[in-house]
Amino acid sequence: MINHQIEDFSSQSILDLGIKYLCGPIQIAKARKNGKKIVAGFLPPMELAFAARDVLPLFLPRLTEFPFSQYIGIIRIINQLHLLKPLLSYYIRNQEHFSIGYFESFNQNEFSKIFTSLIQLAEKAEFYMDTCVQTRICYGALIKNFHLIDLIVGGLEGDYCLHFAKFYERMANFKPVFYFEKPYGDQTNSALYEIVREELHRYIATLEDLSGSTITEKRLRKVAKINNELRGYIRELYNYYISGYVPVHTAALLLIHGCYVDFLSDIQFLRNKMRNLVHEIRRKYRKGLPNYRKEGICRVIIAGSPGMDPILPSTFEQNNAVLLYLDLFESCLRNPTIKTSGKMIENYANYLLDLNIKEGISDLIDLWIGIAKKTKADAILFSSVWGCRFTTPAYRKLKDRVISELGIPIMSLDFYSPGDNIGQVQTRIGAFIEMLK
Amino acid sequence: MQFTIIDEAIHNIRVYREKGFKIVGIVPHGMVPEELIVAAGAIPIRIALGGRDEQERGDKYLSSTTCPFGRATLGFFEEEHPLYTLIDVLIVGTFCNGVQNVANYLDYFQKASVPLILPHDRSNSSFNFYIYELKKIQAYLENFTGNRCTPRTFTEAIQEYNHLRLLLREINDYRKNNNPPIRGQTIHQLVWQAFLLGPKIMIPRCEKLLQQLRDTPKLYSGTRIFLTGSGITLGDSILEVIEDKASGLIVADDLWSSMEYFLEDVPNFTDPFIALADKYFRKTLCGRMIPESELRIPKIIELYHAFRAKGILNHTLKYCDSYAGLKPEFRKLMNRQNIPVLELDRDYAEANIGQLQTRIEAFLEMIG
Repeated sequence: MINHQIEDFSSQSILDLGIKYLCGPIQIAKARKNGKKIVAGFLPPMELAFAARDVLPLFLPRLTEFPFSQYIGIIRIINQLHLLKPLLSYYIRNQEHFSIGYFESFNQNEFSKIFTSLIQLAEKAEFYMDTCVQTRICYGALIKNFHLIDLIVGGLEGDYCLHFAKFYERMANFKPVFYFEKPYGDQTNSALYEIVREELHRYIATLEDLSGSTITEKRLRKVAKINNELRGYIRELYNYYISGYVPVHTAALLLIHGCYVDFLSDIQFLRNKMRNLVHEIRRKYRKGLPNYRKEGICRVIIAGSPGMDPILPSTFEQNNAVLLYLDLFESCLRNPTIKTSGKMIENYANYLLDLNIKEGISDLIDLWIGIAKKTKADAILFSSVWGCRFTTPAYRKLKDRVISELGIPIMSLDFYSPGDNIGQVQTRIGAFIEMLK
Repeated sequence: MQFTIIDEAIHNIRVYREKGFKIVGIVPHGMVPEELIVAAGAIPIRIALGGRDEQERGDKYLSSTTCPFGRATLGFFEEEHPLYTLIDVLIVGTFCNGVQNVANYLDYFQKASVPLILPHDRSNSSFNFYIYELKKIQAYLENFTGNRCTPRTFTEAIQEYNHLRLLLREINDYRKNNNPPIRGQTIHQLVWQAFLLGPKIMIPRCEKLLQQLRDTPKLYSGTRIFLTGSGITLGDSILEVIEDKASGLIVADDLWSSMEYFLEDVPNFTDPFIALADKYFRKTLCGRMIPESELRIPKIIELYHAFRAKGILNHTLKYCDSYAGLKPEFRKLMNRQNIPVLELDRDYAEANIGQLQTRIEAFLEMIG
């Protein structure tokens, strides 16, 4: 396996994660039927919903019904019968007999189409369109599915992006919103610690109201332990990248990021699959994972706003380069585990402060520079998500620092909506990688 | 007039600097108390300039989907505008992304800055956090100026600014009259001067103006409108478009560049920080606070009726998230109150001024 990202999907764990991700509408419909309450948003601290009885966290875009959704139930059954992996492996071995890149183009085009349809829904609902693609998609997903949602949790992003804060205020027109206040700062700020602790108490009380049951210390501790375990697996994966190896390619990396946003509404499932994945990679590593530096394949770190056109991973692959999206991995490496002894609210408050933005965009610039240094990246691609007010305006600053501190090339790529200007994007990336070589 | 204000401010600041005072710039909005800066023996100025050329200069640093004010502010630093070069340190922070983005590039111009981190809600813990932040700024300023803030310096600063605000409110009340002697441009000119010149110059100036107003006949006419949304910067022509070209009469607003500056006093509390937080945090009308329905919206409706406006101009600078994001909701809310709203979405480019004027004229004709 060298620079061939589809082969990642011959891993049973990746397949299981992917199918679970795509089965979001089925999973949530079933949960609703069983009387479970749905909390929409991002984690942390949305994962604390797992500590409430019969409450599930959900990342809204996971409710997206893809055009091939009618087949997903069958595909899931095939996978449960352990037949999907051999079928896919057969496809990989015999790709020359199929239309070229059929699987990849199917993925990209269908994902682009569905996200575009959500954006159109948002526009029809008079959403503020001078904003990033992420919020346009989330808003479209909310409009389409708000009957499935009981509570929206947001706010943490509001401190670095005012649009996000107002986005939640707007959502409150549809559903109850819990806005979690957490301004910039660290543990040295006693007033910040107080805000976070109080917000956690308020959040727990809201979840208790929603579920009609008490959230115990024991349940909070259990969630924290699984969370710690999950982050441990991610740290282990990251260590391969730091060592010069690529354990999974961009599409699978994106999937892992996507799963981490709401723990797939099933924290134990995610923990188990990540554990299996890490074990599988350990085995592969012992056999000799591909080392791209030796193979002369360029490794490009993606920085900027967490959104990219679905065509990017395969565009890099076609140009014999690999795009690495490692923000989550670096975050898991940097931040300590959640303490599981003592009072859990206080432990969570400290955890949230560990994760907190301390000063602003400079935190993220440090993070990207750190990733590029650790992985000895060949270049950086900056995803200039149109309308992003926080990261996109930092491009000039990042560029200046990359040039002076790392001396590697950096390119900015504009991204308005999935599927826009595909030809231009491919040409620019092609030229960029040609230059690297 | 605008150039006169700036020239006067530059002259004034140079005199202060010669006397050894430190100049503290505020990237303006309604949540930084000038009283704190004065209590620490420094001179506050709110750098409220906006301009088309500077906005273009700012594009070198910020993406085109950042607010024009943020881009223009960096443009003024880059062109070394005399007013901006005289600043020793800036208070920045998390008011909005425009302010954050300005702060991110200040080191390119060798400018020191200190952040004021702001929560979005008005809960007690957020209120306490704001006070903590004010104390952080106090410590920074004391260290920077070498002066100590004392109860006396706080009291004097608060009394002085309250006095100025009282006078501005008295002047502003003339806008309730039919054919008032003042209008939106008048109040903006006064507030811009207050931003740059401070109460020592502005108090006698306002007293003199009040005296004149008592003897001034009715002057202005036009369709009475309320202005809301993004603040108006010095150098921006939109007020002239509304009042001179389209014959509107701005009778009230909730802008940081105008009425929000003086609507509320700092109360007479024993603890100056609680007093400052009461005005600048708990009672702020800024659209960046959540939810707007808590304070801003009811206040707009109250002022709209008190000043007998006939419609609202919701003026938003492009990409200004404090106000642009919830425009449809704002319009629907106001329409439910039978208040007509015209949305004006723009930047500092002059190209679409004619189109804006036509839209404003049509709106005024409809509500007039």
